[in-house]
Amino acid sequence: MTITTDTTLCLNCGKHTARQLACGGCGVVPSSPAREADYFSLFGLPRKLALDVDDLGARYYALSRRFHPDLLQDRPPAEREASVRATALVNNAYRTLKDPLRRGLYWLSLHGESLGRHNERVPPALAARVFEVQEKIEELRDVRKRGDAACVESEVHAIRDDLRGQMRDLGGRLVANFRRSDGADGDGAAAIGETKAVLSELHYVRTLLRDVEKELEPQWSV
Amino acid sequence: MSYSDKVLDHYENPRNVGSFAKDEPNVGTGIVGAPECGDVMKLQLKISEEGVIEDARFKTFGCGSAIASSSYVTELIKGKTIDEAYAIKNTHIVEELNLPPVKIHCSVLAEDAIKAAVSDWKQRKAGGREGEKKAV
Repeated sequence: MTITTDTTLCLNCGKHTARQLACGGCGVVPSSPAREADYFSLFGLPRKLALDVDDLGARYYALSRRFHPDLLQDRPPAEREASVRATALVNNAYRTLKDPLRRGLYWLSLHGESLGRHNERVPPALAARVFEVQEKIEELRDVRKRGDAACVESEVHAIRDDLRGQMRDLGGRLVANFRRSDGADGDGAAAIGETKAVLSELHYVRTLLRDVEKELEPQWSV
Repeated sequence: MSYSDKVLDHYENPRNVGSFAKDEPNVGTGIVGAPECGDVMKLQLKISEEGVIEDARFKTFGCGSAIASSSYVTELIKGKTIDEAYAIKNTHIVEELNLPPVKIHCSVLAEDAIKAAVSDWKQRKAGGREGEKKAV
Protein backbone atom coordinates (compact mmCIF):
# COMPACT_ATOMS: atom_id res chain seq x y z
CA MET A 1 0.00 0.00 0.00
CA THR A 2 1.24 3.43 -0.89
CA ILE A 3 0.12 6.53 0.90
CA THR A 4 0.53 9.55 -1.30
CA THR A 5 2.07 12.57 0.35
CA ASP A 6 4.76 15.02 -0.64
CA THR A 7 7.38 13.34 1.55
CA THR A 8 10.65 13.13 -0.25
CA LEU A 9 12.84 11.15 2.08
CA CYS A 10 12.49 7.58 3.22
CA LEU A 11 13.20 7.33 6.91
CA ASN A 12 14.14 3.71 6.49
CA CYS A 13 16.75 3.71 3.77
CA GLY A 14 17.45 7.44 3.57
CA LYS A 15 16.64 7.57 -0.14
CA HIS A 16 14.50 10.21 -1.69
CA THR A 17 11.25 8.87 -2.98
CA ALA A 18 8.57 10.38 -5.18
CA ARG A 19 5.84 11.89 -3.06
CA GLN A 20 5.02 8.81 -1.02
CA LEU A 21 5.01 8.15 2.65
CA ALA A 22 5.85 4.53 1.92
CA CYS A 23 9.32 4.38 0.47
CA GLY A 24 9.42 3.41 -3.19
CA GLY A 25 12.79 1.80 -2.59
CA CYS A 26 12.03 -0.50 0.31
CA GLY A 27 8.26 -0.18 0.68
CA VAL A 28 8.34 0.47 4.42
CA VAL A 29 6.19 3.13 6.08
CA PRO A 30 8.15 5.04 7.61
CA SER A 31 10.22 2.37 9.39
CA SER A 32 13.47 2.92 11.23
CA PRO A 33 14.94 6.37 10.76
CA ALA A 34 18.02 6.36 8.61
CA ARG A 35 20.93 7.48 10.71
CA GLU A 36 22.72 8.81 7.67
CA ALA A 37 19.84 11.02 6.58
CA ASP A 38 20.91 14.57 7.23
CA TYR A 39 18.64 16.99 9.08
CA PHE A 40 18.52 19.49 6.24
CA SER A 41 17.26 17.02 3.65
CA LEU A 42 14.81 15.60 6.19
CA PHE A 43 12.98 18.93 5.93
CA GLY A 44 13.58 19.14 2.19
CA LEU A 45 16.05 21.97 2.68
CA PRO A 46 19.39 22.54 0.99
CA ARG A 47 22.44 22.11 3.19
CA LYS A 48 22.73 25.83 3.81
CA LEU A 49 23.51 27.56 7.07
CA ALA A 50 21.21 30.54 6.59
CA LEU A 51 17.64 29.39 6.91
CA ASP A 52 14.25 30.87 7.64
CA VAL A 53 13.27 29.60 11.08
CA ASP A 54 9.53 30.23 10.49
CA ASP A 55 9.66 28.17 7.33
CA LEU A 56 11.55 25.47 9.20
CA GLY A 57 8.83 25.51 11.87
CA ALA A 58 6.11 25.04 9.25
CA ARG A 59 7.98 22.11 7.72
CA TYR A 60 8.50 20.63 11.17
CA TYR A 61 4.81 20.73 12.04
CA ALA A 62 3.88 19.21 8.68
CA LEU A 63 6.36 16.36 9.14
CA SER A 64 5.36 15.81 12.79
CA ARG A 65 1.73 15.46 11.82
CA ARG A 66 2.58 13.05 9.05
CA PHE A 67 4.64 10.76 11.25
CA HIS A 68 2.58 11.16 14.38
CA PRO A 69 2.12 7.70 15.98
CA ASP A 70 -1.55 8.47 16.71
CA LEU A 71 -2.30 8.69 13.00
CA LEU A 72 -0.87 5.25 12.29
CA GLN A 73 -2.91 3.30 14.79
CA ASP A 74 -4.32 0.98 12.15
CA ARG A 75 -0.86 0.08 10.83
CA PRO A 76 1.17 -2.99 11.90
CA PRO A 77 3.12 -2.67 15.19
CA ALA A 78 6.47 -2.46 13.40
CA GLU A 79 5.36 0.59 11.49
CA ARG A 80 3.91 2.21 14.58
CA GLU A 81 7.19 1.70 16.39
CA ALA A 82 8.96 3.12 13.39
CA SER A 83 6.78 6.20 13.48
CA VAL A 84 7.82 6.80 17.09
CA ARG A 85 11.46 6.66 16.02
CA ALA A 86 10.73 8.89 13.05
CA THR A 87 9.06 11.41 15.34
CA ALA A 88 12.08 11.40 17.63
CA LEU A 89 14.37 11.97 14.65
CA VAL A 90 12.23 14.84 13.37
CA ASN A 91 12.14 16.43 16.84
CA ASN A 92 15.90 16.15 17.16
CA ALA A 93 16.42 17.58 13.71
CA TYR A 94 14.16 20.52 14.45
CA ARG A 95 15.81 21.28 17.80
CA THR A 96 19.19 21.20 16.12
CA LEU A 97 18.39 23.35 13.10
CA LYS A 98 16.25 25.90 14.95
CA ASP A 99 19.15 27.16 17.07
CA PRO A 100 21.89 28.89 15.04
CA LEU A 101 24.68 27.63 17.31
CA ARG A 102 23.52 24.02 17.25
CA ARG A 103 22.83 24.29 13.53
CA GLY A 104 26.35 25.57 12.97
CA LEU A 105 27.88 22.78 15.05
CA TYR A 106 25.81 20.22 13.16
CA TRP A 107 26.86 21.74 9.85
CA LEU A 108 30.48 21.41 10.96
CA SER A 109 29.90 17.75 11.81
CA LEU A 110 28.51 17.16 8.31
CA HIS A 111 31.84 18.42 7.03
CA GLY A 112 33.71 16.04 9.30
CA GLU A 113 34.63 18.90 11.59
CA SER A 114 34.08 19.70 15.25
CA LEU A 115 34.85 22.61 17.53
CA GLY A 116 37.61 20.71 19.25
CA ARG A 117 39.37 19.60 16.09
CA HIS A 118 42.57 21.61 15.49
CA ASN A 119 40.99 24.27 17.62
CA GLU A 120 41.91 23.66 21.20
CA ARG A 121 42.39 27.29 22.06
CA VAL A 122 40.16 30.28 22.32
CA PRO A 123 41.59 33.73 21.56
CA PRO A 124 43.86 34.75 24.48
CA ALA A 125 41.91 37.92 25.29
CA LEU A 126 38.68 35.94 25.53
CA ALA A 127 40.28 33.30 27.74
CA ALA A 128 41.55 36.06 30.04
CA ARG A 129 38.08 37.60 30.18
CA VAL A 130 36.50 34.25 31.04
CA PHE A 131 39.05 33.76 33.79
CA GLU A 132 38.30 37.18 35.20
CA VAL A 133 34.54 36.53 35.19
CA GLN A 134 34.98 33.11 36.81
CA GLU A 135 37.05 34.74 39.56
CA LYS A 136 34.32 37.30 40.09
CA ILE A 137 31.74 34.51 40.42
CA GLU A 138 33.99 32.85 42.96
CA GLU A 139 34.28 36.14 44.87
CA LEU A 140 30.51 36.46 44.86
CA ARG A 141 30.16 33.01 46.43
CA ASP A 142 32.67 33.99 49.10
CA VAL A 143 31.05 37.29 50.04
CA ARG A 144 27.62 35.65 50.11
CA LYS A 145 28.87 33.32 52.81
CA ARG A 146 29.97 36.32 54.84
CA GLY A 147 26.76 38.29 54.43
CA ASP A 148 26.35 41.46 52.42
CA ALA A 149 27.02 40.68 48.79
CA ALA A 150 25.09 43.55 47.20
CA CYS A 151 28.17 45.27 45.81
CA VAL A 152 29.69 42.21 44.12
CA GLU A 153 26.23 41.12 43.02
CA SER A 154 25.70 44.33 41.08
CA GLU A 155 29.12 43.85 39.46
CA VAL A 156 28.09 40.36 38.35
CA HIS A 157 24.79 41.75 37.05
CA ALA A 158 26.76 44.20 34.94
CA ILE A 159 28.91 41.34 33.66
CA ARG A 160 25.79 39.38 32.76
CA ASP A 161 24.35 42.30 30.78
CA ASP A 162 27.68 42.75 29.06
CA LEU A 163 27.83 39.05 28.13
CA ARG A 164 24.26 39.15 26.83
CA GLY A 165 25.26 42.05 24.59
CA GLN A 166 28.27 40.06 23.44
CA MET A 167 26.00 37.09 22.65
CA ARG A 168 23.80 39.33 20.51
CA ASP A 169 26.84 40.68 18.63
CA LEU A 170 28.19 37.19 18.09
CA GLY A 171 24.76 36.03 16.93
CA GLY A 172 24.78 38.78 14.33
CA ARG A 173 28.30 37.85 13.27
CA LEU A 174 27.25 34.22 12.98
CA VAL A 175 24.28 35.02 10.73
CA ALA A 176 26.46 37.24 8.53
CA ASN A 177 29.01 34.47 8.39
CA PHE A 178 26.33 31.90 7.50
CA ARG A 179 25.28 34.02 4.54
CA ARG A 180 28.87 34.47 3.43
CA SER A 181 29.73 30.80 3.60
CA ASP A 182 26.48 29.83 1.82
CA GLY A 183 27.09 32.43 -0.85
CA ALA A 184 30.70 31.57 -1.43
CA ASP A 185 31.58 28.03 -2.25
CA GLY A 186 29.83 26.69 0.85
CA ASP A 187 32.18 23.77 1.39
CA GLY A 188 35.34 25.83 1.15
CA ALA A 189 37.93 25.42 3.88
CA ALA A 190 37.98 29.15 4.56
CA ALA A 191 34.22 29.22 5.18
CA ILE A 192 34.52 26.27 7.54
CA GLY A 193 37.40 27.93 9.38
CA GLU A 194 35.57 31.22 9.79
CA THR A 195 32.35 29.56 10.87
CA LYS A 196 34.27 27.50 13.37
CA ALA A 197 35.94 30.58 14.86
CA VAL A 198 32.64 32.40 15.42
CA LEU A 199 30.97 29.24 16.73
CA SER A 200 33.84 28.66 19.16
CA GLU A 201 33.55 32.12 20.56
CA LEU A 202 29.77 31.90 20.79
CA HIS A 203 29.91 28.50 22.43
CA TYR A 204 32.46 29.70 24.96
CA VAL A 205 30.61 32.90 25.83
CA ARG A 206 27.32 31.02 26.10
CA THR A 207 28.85 28.57 28.59
CA LEU A 208 30.16 31.47 30.63
CA LEU A 209 26.86 33.33 30.50
CA ARG A 210 25.10 30.19 31.73
CA ASP A 211 27.47 30.03 34.70
CA VAL A 212 26.86 33.70 35.48
CA GLU A 213 23.09 33.37 35.19
CA LYS A 214 23.06 30.30 37.38
CA GLU A 215 24.92 32.21 40.05
CA LEU A 216 22.42 35.08 39.95
CA GLU A 217 19.37 32.86 40.15
CA PRO A 218 17.27 33.41 43.27
CA GLN A 219 18.16 30.89 45.98
CA TRP A 220 14.74 29.24 45.94
CA SER A 221 14.72 28.40 42.26
CA VAL A 222 16.21 25.18 41.03
CA MET B 1 33.49 7.19 32.83
CA SER B 2 35.45 7.21 36.04
CA TYR B 3 38.51 9.20 36.90
CA SER B 4 41.81 7.46 37.51
CA ASP B 5 43.31 7.51 41.01
CA LYS B 6 45.93 10.01 39.91
CA VAL B 7 43.32 12.41 38.58
CA LEU B 8 41.32 12.07 41.80
CA ASP B 9 44.45 12.67 43.87
CA HIS B 10 45.30 15.89 42.00
CA TYR B 11 41.67 16.94 42.03
CA GLU B 12 41.30 16.46 45.78
CA ASN B 13 44.76 17.76 46.69
CA PRO B 14 45.73 20.12 43.90
CA ARG B 15 49.40 21.16 44.02
CA ASN B 16 50.60 24.73 43.67
CA VAL B 17 47.23 26.44 43.51
CA GLY B 18 47.38 30.21 43.57
CA SER B 19 49.04 33.02 41.73
CA PHE B 20 52.11 35.23 41.52
CA ALA B 21 51.88 38.96 40.96
CA LYS B 22 51.40 39.28 37.21
CA ASP B 23 53.75 42.24 36.86
CA GLU B 24 56.75 40.57 38.49
CA PRO B 25 59.45 40.66 35.82
CA ASN B 26 60.43 37.00 36.19
CA VAL B 27 56.86 35.68 36.00
CA GLY B 28 55.29 34.37 32.81
CA THR B 29 51.51 34.03 32.73
CA GLY B 30 49.51 31.87 30.36
CA ILE B 31 45.72 31.90 30.31
CA VAL B 32 44.12 29.44 27.92
CA GLY B 33 40.60 28.16 27.35
CA ALA B 34 38.98 25.23 25.59
CA PRO B 35 36.12 26.26 23.30
CA GLU B 36 34.19 23.01 23.62
CA CYS B 37 33.79 22.74 27.35
CA GLY B 38 34.19 26.30 28.62
CA ASP B 39 37.17 25.43 30.78
CA VAL B 40 39.78 28.08 31.46
CA MET B 41 43.25 27.60 32.91
CA LYS B 42 45.85 30.02 34.23
CA LEU B 43 49.42 28.87 34.63
CA GLN B 44 52.18 31.08 36.03
CA LEU B 45 55.85 30.25 35.96
CA LYS B 46 58.63 31.92 37.92
CA ILE B 47 61.63 31.71 35.65
CA SER B 48 65.24 32.53 36.50
CA GLU B 49 67.46 34.79 34.42
CA GLU B 50 69.04 31.63 32.99
CA GLY B 51 65.68 30.31 31.85
CA VAL B 52 65.10 27.71 34.56
CA ILE B 53 61.60 27.32 35.97
CA GLU B 54 61.89 27.84 39.69
CA ASP B 55 58.27 27.77 40.73
CA ALA B 56 54.79 27.39 39.30
CA ARG B 57 51.22 28.26 40.26
CA PHE B 58 47.93 27.47 38.62
CA LYS B 59 44.26 28.12 38.86
CA THR B 60 41.72 26.29 36.72
CA PHE B 61 37.98 26.59 36.34
CA GLY B 62 36.95 23.33 34.79
CA CYS B 63 36.43 19.63 35.19
CA GLY B 64 38.46 17.23 37.31
CA SER B 65 40.70 16.28 34.39
CA ALA B 66 41.50 19.91 33.60
CA ILE B 67 42.36 20.61 37.22
CA ALA B 68 44.44 17.43 37.49
CA SER B 69 46.26 18.18 34.22
CA SER B 70 47.28 21.65 35.33
CA SER B 71 48.12 20.55 38.86
CA TYR B 72 50.32 17.77 37.50
CA VAL B 73 52.04 20.16 35.12
CA THR B 74 53.08 22.50 37.93
CA GLU B 75 54.87 19.58 39.60
CA LEU B 76 56.35 18.26 36.39
CA ILE B 77 57.73 21.55 35.23
CA LYS B 78 59.66 22.76 38.27
CA GLY B 79 63.41 22.67 37.71
CA LYS B 80 63.09 22.30 33.95
CA THR B 81 64.56 24.76 31.48
CA ILE B 82 62.13 26.68 29.32
CA ASP B 83 63.18 24.61 26.31
CA GLU B 84 62.47 21.38 28.16
CA ALA B 85 59.13 22.79 29.31
CA TYR B 86 58.26 23.85 25.80
CA ALA B 87 58.90 20.32 24.59
CA ILE B 88 56.37 18.74 26.98
CA LYS B 89 53.65 17.05 24.97
CA ASN B 90 50.06 16.56 26.01
CA THR B 91 50.42 12.82 25.34
CA HIS B 92 52.77 12.64 28.31
CA ILE B 93 50.05 14.11 30.53
CA VAL B 94 47.47 11.73 29.06
CA GLU B 95 49.67 8.73 29.88
CA GLU B 96 50.61 9.92 33.33
CA LEU B 97 47.04 10.69 34.39
CA ASN B 98 45.39 7.93 32.39
CA LEU B 99 42.98 10.33 30.75
CA PRO B 100 40.17 8.82 28.67
CA PRO B 101 39.77 9.95 25.04
CA VAL B 102 37.00 12.45 25.85
CA LYS B 103 39.35 14.24 28.25
CA ILE B 104 42.37 14.53 25.99
CA HIS B 105 41.57 18.16 25.29
CA CYS B 106 42.25 18.90 28.98
CA SER B 107 45.84 17.77 28.50
CA VAL B 108 46.10 19.85 25.33
CA LEU B 109 44.97 22.83 27.36
CA ALA B 110 47.71 22.21 29.91
CA GLU B 111 50.34 21.91 27.17
CA ASP B 112 49.10 25.15 25.64
CA ALA B 113 49.19 26.86 29.03
CA ILE B 114 52.90 26.01 29.40
CA LYS B 115 53.66 27.40 25.95
CA ALA B 116 51.60 30.53 26.59
CA ALA B 117 53.32 31.15 29.94
CA VAL B 118 56.81 30.68 28.49
CA SER B 119 55.99 32.93 25.53
CA ASP B 120 54.67 35.58 27.87
CA TRP B 121 57.86 35.45 29.93
CA LYS B 122 60.00 35.74 26.79
CA GLN B 123 57.95 38.63 25.50
CA ARG B 124 58.05 40.46 28.79
CA LYS B 125 61.77 39.91 29.03
CA ALA B 126 62.31 41.32 25.53
CA GLY B 127 59.83 44.13 26.15
CA GLY B 128 61.46 44.93 29.50
CA ARG B 129 64.86 45.34 27.87
CA GLU B 130 63.39 47.58 25.21
CA GLY B 131 61.65 49.54 27.95
CA GLU B 132 64.95 50.06 29.73
CA LYS B 133 66.55 51.28 26.55
CA LYS B 134 63.75 53.71 25.99
CA ALA B 135 64.05 54.93 29.54
CA VAL B 136 67.79 55.66 29.09
